[in-house]
Amino acid sequence: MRLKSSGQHIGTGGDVSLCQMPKLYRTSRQPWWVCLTLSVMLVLAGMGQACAKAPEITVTTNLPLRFGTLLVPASGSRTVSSGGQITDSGVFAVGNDPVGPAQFTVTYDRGNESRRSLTIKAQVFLSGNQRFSVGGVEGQLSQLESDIAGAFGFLTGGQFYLTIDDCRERRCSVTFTVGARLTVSRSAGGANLVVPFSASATVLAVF
Amino acid sequence: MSSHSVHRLLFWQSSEMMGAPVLRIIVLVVAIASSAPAFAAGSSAEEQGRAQAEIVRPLVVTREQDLAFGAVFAGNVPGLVTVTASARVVYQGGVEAACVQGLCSAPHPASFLVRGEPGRSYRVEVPDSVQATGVLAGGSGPAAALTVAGLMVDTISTPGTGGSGSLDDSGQDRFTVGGTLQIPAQQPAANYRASVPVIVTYG
Repeated sequence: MRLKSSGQHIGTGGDVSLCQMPKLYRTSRQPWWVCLTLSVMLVLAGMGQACAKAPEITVTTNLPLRFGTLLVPASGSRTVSSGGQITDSGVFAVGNDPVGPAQFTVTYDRGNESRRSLTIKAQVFLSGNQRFSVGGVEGQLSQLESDIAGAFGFLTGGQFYLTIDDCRERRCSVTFTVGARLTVSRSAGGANLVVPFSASATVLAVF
Repeated sequence: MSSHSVHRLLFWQSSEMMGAPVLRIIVLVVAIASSAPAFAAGSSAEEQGRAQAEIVRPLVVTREQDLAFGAVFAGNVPGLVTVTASARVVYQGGVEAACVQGLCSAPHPASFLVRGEPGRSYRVEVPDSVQATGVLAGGSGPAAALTVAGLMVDTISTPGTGGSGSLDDSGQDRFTVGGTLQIPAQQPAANYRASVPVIVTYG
């Protein structure tokens, strides 16, 4: 007897996609009940894993990193920590614009409807140290940090580990905040500064 | 022991016990189908965040004209000279203007030019009152201090708001400051001067 699968994906560790059921070929040497048993078992195995797909991790932005409105005579910086604390040096706050850390959500989609408890370990990397200038205003983001330090603490270069424990849903997520320091130098005028930075997550282990 | 290794162990035990290729396949299928742990080591995702800030230039305030109460005659009863922010002059009590209009300095409010971020609102703050120090005519010594009370502010952009204004498209506006000089009865002739601190902030 030959077992031929079609559209089946088995990842490391045995993840199974069963959107298309394997096809069975019966040979004359095998009794009919063997193929029947196999078919029933495969159908049963497919139940509860409706149209599974490959596991994936996604990162979404919930809130930008907000430094508010700053009066900058010449140069200075504002630090907004991941916990929301504000530290100013050489700049002065203006108005009541909202100030706060960025917020991201990392979501792990196991790709099927299994209820098996999973622990997902991922590494998150924050980057964005380039300078940006608008007119006579130049800004630079630095010291990116998060409220999630993980068991291993904060690593160098804006990296840290995060863990999603006891994931029993198809999608499990964890939300974290990101703070940073914005250094501004102003030679003329004012500007609306929008400085991009990236947050990437890589799955290290799922068990 | 992980579930994966458990399944592998089951496979070998079964094959030794049964020795049948068919059952090997069955056990293998059961093992795979029942496990299905979602393992995605190495998969990654990236999201672009953004940091945003509005940077504004500092406010620059330039005095264009001082607050002047002009020259007044002090009478036998106390009096008041009020110069409003809109440049209206009112004499009350025992004081009256000492100058014929045009012959000496006319009373007028202080005037300031404020420059900053176009379109931004700002606010002007002045104290409730200040003391004016004087020198007796002929330089014969200091005179008793006078009180300048009821200091008031009016902006060109939004008059009547008590010190709130907004900068125009070129980032400019003007505001004026008035007040009331309180003059006691029988005040000797003297020249008076006061400093009025003006604080301008973005609103």
